[in-house]
Order: sequence, then structure tokens, then C-alpha cells
Amino acid sequence: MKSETKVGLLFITAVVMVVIFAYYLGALNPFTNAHELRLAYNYAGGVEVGSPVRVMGIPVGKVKSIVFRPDQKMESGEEVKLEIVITVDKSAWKTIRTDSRFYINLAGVIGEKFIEVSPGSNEKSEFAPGQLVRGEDPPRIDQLISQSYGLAGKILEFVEKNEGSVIETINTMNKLVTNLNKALKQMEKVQSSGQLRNIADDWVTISDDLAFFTQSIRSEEGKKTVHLINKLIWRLDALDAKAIKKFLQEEGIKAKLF
Amino acid sequence: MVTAMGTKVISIFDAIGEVSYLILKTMVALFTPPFRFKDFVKQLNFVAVESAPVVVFCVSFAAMVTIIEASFHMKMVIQNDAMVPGFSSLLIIRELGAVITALLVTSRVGAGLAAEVGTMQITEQIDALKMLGIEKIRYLVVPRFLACVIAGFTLTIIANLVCLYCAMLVSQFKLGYTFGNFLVGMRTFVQFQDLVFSSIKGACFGAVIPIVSCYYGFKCKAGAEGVGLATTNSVVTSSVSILILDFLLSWIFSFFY
Amino acid sequence: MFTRVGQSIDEIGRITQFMGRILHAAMFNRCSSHVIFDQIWRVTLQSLSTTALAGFFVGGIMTVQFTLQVKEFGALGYLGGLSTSGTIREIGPLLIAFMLSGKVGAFTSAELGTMRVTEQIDAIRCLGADPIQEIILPRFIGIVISSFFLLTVGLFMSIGGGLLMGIVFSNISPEEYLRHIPSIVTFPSILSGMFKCFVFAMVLSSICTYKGYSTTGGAKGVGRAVVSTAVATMVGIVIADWLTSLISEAIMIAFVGEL
Repeated sequence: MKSETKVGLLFITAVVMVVIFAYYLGALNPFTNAHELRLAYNYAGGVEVGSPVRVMGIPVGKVKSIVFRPDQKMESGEEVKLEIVITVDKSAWKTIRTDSRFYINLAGVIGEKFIEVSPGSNEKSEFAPGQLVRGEDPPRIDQLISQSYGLAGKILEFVEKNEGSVIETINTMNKLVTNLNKALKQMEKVQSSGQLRNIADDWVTISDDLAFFTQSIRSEEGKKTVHLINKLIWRLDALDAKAIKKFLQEEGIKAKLF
Repeated sequence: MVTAMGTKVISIFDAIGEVSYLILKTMVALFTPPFRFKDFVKQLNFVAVESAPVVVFCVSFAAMVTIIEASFHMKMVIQNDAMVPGFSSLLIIRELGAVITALLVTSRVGAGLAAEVGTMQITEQIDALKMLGIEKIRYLVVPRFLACVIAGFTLTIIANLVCLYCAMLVSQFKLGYTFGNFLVGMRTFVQFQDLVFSSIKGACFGAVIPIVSCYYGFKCKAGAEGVGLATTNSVVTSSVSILILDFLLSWIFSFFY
Repeated sequence: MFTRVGQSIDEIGRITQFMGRILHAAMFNRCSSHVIFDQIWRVTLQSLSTTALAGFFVGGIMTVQFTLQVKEFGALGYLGGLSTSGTIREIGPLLIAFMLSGKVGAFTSAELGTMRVTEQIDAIRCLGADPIQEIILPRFIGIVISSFFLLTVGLFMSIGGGLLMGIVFSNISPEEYLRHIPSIVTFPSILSGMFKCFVFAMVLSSICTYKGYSTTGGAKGVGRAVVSTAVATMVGIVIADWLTSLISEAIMIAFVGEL
């Protein structure tokens, strides 16, 4: 073999090895099988280029780039100044629907940040590749804590100011319970009499009313409330148990001080 | 005593001056025509291709030892060795791959170069070149310099990746980590720039070898003893300067992470 | 390809035979201790500064690298112990032995090769003396002892280099650096490092004396002998490194119970 050929072979080996290495490190992916999505945030909580994207806890892509857009507005008119471009594998693309939520979360020993995507429901349509979506801003833990300090203070204040009325309320509730007991006893007495039918009629009206009430909960307003509660739970998930414990302890100290 | 020390100091300054002159001349000849492409390829074949088997062989053994020892240390300090794949791949890529490759190339190529040039010097072939009006630096040093730099770069890359593969095998069969575990551990710690820095290191080490060897080769004294001395000196000097350079480069690169 | 493998097997066989001859000479013929001490002194003196310098820098490099790793876990206090242990058990002996193979190995094989090509060895044989006993044996023993000594010196210098870099580069106080050394560097670790040094010294001296002794063909032959010595010692050292790691682990498991 000529020496030129050998040298060429060596170089080709080196280049191929570098490409394989880069592929395994994820620095290079020529057989890309991913779609892009643009997420809009106002606060990104320390996500970096290369942070993983997970759907239901499984890594399916990564953060490709982070761009500042000072004059970007969502369709709703909200100003959102940060844009994070993520890639999502084709295999996972179908689980992400227009009602999916994009949370920024924390995991691992070193505390790596990642973007968690909640799976959407099947009735909703898929995203178009490259679509701009509003992500859920992660809780600013510092703000959260300062807010809860304020809240705790207010509750304490309220209790102190209205001590008398609170006791009154409790007394009233006591009376109510005794009254209820009496009513129940009377009901037992009248069980066999004809009055029972009247009562049953009353029950029917009450259940009608209840049905109406649940319907109103199912309305748009009610859904929003339920969603808000869900969101709160998601955000609290990000705080690990230790942080919550610590927070509660500190809160306890504060309460004692009051 | 004082006279002896004075002579020693002066000879050190002499050596520094001669090496700088050699480097300067090489640089000038490197970027001015005529280029000797054929020589360059021949040297590349000698330096890179023929060293590759030895380098790959040695480096893979070194990798096996490294990962076993790393697991030992981790078990000692933090009672488990879950981080071993990440740590040892980082150590291999940042340090071992480049240095061991460079030292092997030094002993093989550097010693060979010094012996070759030294033999040419004492058999008056270099004087003959001068008679023919050929610059010795352009004819001898430049192709070797270029070949060594490129070979250092390439061999470091190959050595690093063979090393990682061997470490992976050992962690699979001895430490009980699957390939997947190893790759995930590696991905958390190693970045692509580590490989780039490592190959830059390799190229720098490659540049040291031919300069030192040719310097000692040109200064070779007559007789078999002279050739032996020139070879020994060139191996020792380039090994020590590679270690010092490695230290400096590690320090410099540590500001880029 | 196969011929090359066959040739290297031949070479190993010849080295073994050569070792046998040296051992035979060592067992049955008395060799004056004066000559051996002379050799030890010469080899040690000429390589001491190189080895110490190399050891110092190896320690420094290891500390810089370990700092980058340990910092992520905030375990900077362990830096001293970790880098010293890593240097003594593994990297130190390997790199310093590489250095020695350049210095001592190449020098010895050049010296013996020169003797061979200038027919001094044949002259000794003509005088009715055994060249193995007169020239090779003192050198062999001298190199084993002095390389072992040099490797140990290099390891101690590496602690010094690591300490300096710990202070300069990673900003930890010398007391903190030194405090964790005894807790991580155990006695078996030191023993395993020493064992490695000894094995490397054996490999080095047997290869370089053999290669020097079997030189042929003028000044060019000497150059060739030096080159092949350097390569062969490095390959030998790497393999010996792996074998000793396995062996010392096995010994430790047998004696200490567990690691």
C-alpha cells in the first residue's frame, strides 16, 4: 500500500471517530428526527442551551437556543420577551397537543434544569412545527416566599383583630349542630308517619338545586378555577420536600414571633 | 566552581537562543515556497500511521487501569462508584489520552528523528546538502514538523476514543455498568470542547518533538556514542517539556470551562 | 502481520533467555558490590533532577485536573487526599516510569550499544571474562535499585507539586490539603504504588540491557537500538501497569478482605 493511502485511511478513521463521538455526546445529530417548537417565557429559571426536554419524564429533545425578543407579543396581547427554541423527537411529537403545558422543572443530584411537557388530550390538534407557544413561567421561589410571608402576616392579623367574633361564630356553629341533632331525632320519630313524603319531596328540590350548582361549576369560570388549582400543584411539585419543610419551619418561627 | 557555573549558565542561554532560531527558521520556511509535499507525506506515514498501533495498544491498557483505579477511589471517598464512568472519561479525555500519546510518539518518533538527523550529521550528509545549496531546515525540519503536528492532532483523537471504548468495555465486564450507563455518565461530564482542547494539546506536543529532536540531532558529536547521547537527550528533553507544556495548557484551558 | 507477531514473540523469548543468563550469573558468580554501587550512584545522579522535575509537574497536573472535577461537588477539602492517592497509585508511577525509560533506558542502551559496535564487549570476551557478568549484571542490578529509588523520589516530589498547585490554583490552605492525605492514602495504597515502581524498574532494566547488548551495525545501529528500547519499555511498562493493578487488587482482597 502506498504511504499516501495509509495516511488518508488514518485521517478518515480519525474524522469518523470524531463524528461518532460528537453524535454520542449529542453535539451533532445528522439524522435529526425532531420538530422544533418556540416557547415564550418571561422567566426561564436557569434553563440553558442543551437542557433536556421531557414528556412524561422521558427525555425527547433538548433546548436548541435561547433568544431575547424585546418587542414580541402573544396573540392575547401579553408581552413575552424570551423565546426558547426546543426540539422534540417525532416519536413523542404526537403526545404533545395544543392543550399541553410547558413547565420548567428541576431534577437530579446536581440540580439540572429541564423543560417538562405535560401530554395533551387526544381531542386537541397537534402543534404545527415551529409554532410559538406560551410556556408556564416557573415559580419565582424568592417571590413566592416573600408573598407567603405577607399572607401569613395578614392571617395572623385578622385572627388577632377579630378574636371575639371568631369565638362567636364557633358558638353559633355549636348551636347549629345541636339544632341539627334535634332535627335528626324528630326525623326518626316521624319516619313511619305520612310527613315523610313531604320531606322526600323537599329532598328532590334540593337535589335539583345541587344539579344546577354543579352545572355552573362545569362552566368556563369553574374550569379556570380547577385549572388554577392544578397549576399550583404542578408548581409546588418543583419545590422538593426539603424546601417545603424548611419553608414551613421558618414560617413557624415567624408565627411564634407574632 | 564559579567558572563552571558561569559556563553552564551561558550554555543554557546558548541552547535557548539556538532553539528559538530553529523555531523561527522553521516557521519562515513553513509559510514560504517551495514546499516539499512528497517528503511531508512520507514523514506523515512514518509518524502517524506507523505509530498508531503502538499508541492504540498502550492507551487502551492505560484506560483499563484508569477506570479500575477510579472506581477504587470513588468507593473509598463516597462509598459508591456511580460517578466513575463520567469521572474517568473526563480524566481520559482531558489528560491521559493526549499525554500518553505524546510520550509514546516522543519515544518512537523523537528518538528516531534524533538518531536519523544525528547520523546524517556525523556522516557529513548535512554538509553535503549545504554544498548542494539546499537549506537543511527546509529539507529536514519542516516536513517533520508539519507531520508531527498533524500526527499529534490525529493520534490524540484516535487514542482518546479508543481509550473511551476500552473504558466502556471494562466498566461493562468488571464494574457492572452497561454501555448506556457509561454513555449517560459521560454525557453529563464530558463536553465536545474537551475533545477539541485535548487535540489542541496533542498538536502542541507534536510541535515540541521535532524541534527538540532536530536540535539535538544537529548538535550530534561524532561516533556511535554521540548518536546515543543525542537520542537520549532528545527523548528526555522533549518528555519533560511535554509535561511542563501539559501543565501550562491545563492551566490555560481551565479558564475556558 | 503474522510474521510481525511472530517476531515480537521471538523477541520476548530472547529477552527471557537473556534474563535467565543474568539471573544465572547473579546466582553463581560473585559480583563485586563496589561496581554495583558505582552504577547506582551514576544512574541516580544523572537522572535525579529530571525525575524530580517530572514528578513535580505530574503532581501539579493531577491537582489541577482533580480541582476541576471536585469543585462541582463542593468537596474541595478532599482534593489533597484524592490527587495524592491518584498520583501515588496510578498516574505517578506510570508517567515517571515513562520519563525514566527515556532517561535511564535510552542512556543505558546507547552506552551498551556503543560498547557493542566499538567491539569493547568482544574485547572483554577475548580477555577471558564473561561480558554478562562484568558489564550487564552490575548495570542490571544498579538500574533496578536506582530506578526504584528514583521513582519513589518522583512520587514524593509529586506530593510537593500537588501541594503547590493546591495553594496557587485551587486556593486551599496547605494544612487543609495535607489533612486529608492520611485519611485517603492508606498503607496498602503506598504499598501498591511501591510494588508498581519495583515492577517497572525490573521491566525497564531488563529491556534496556537486552536491547543495548544486542545492538548491531555502527552509529545508525545505536540510534535504532535506542529507539526500539524506548518503544519497547513503554509498551512493557503499560502492560506491567495493568498486570500489577490486577495482582495488587487480588492480593489486597486476599489479605485485607475487601478494598
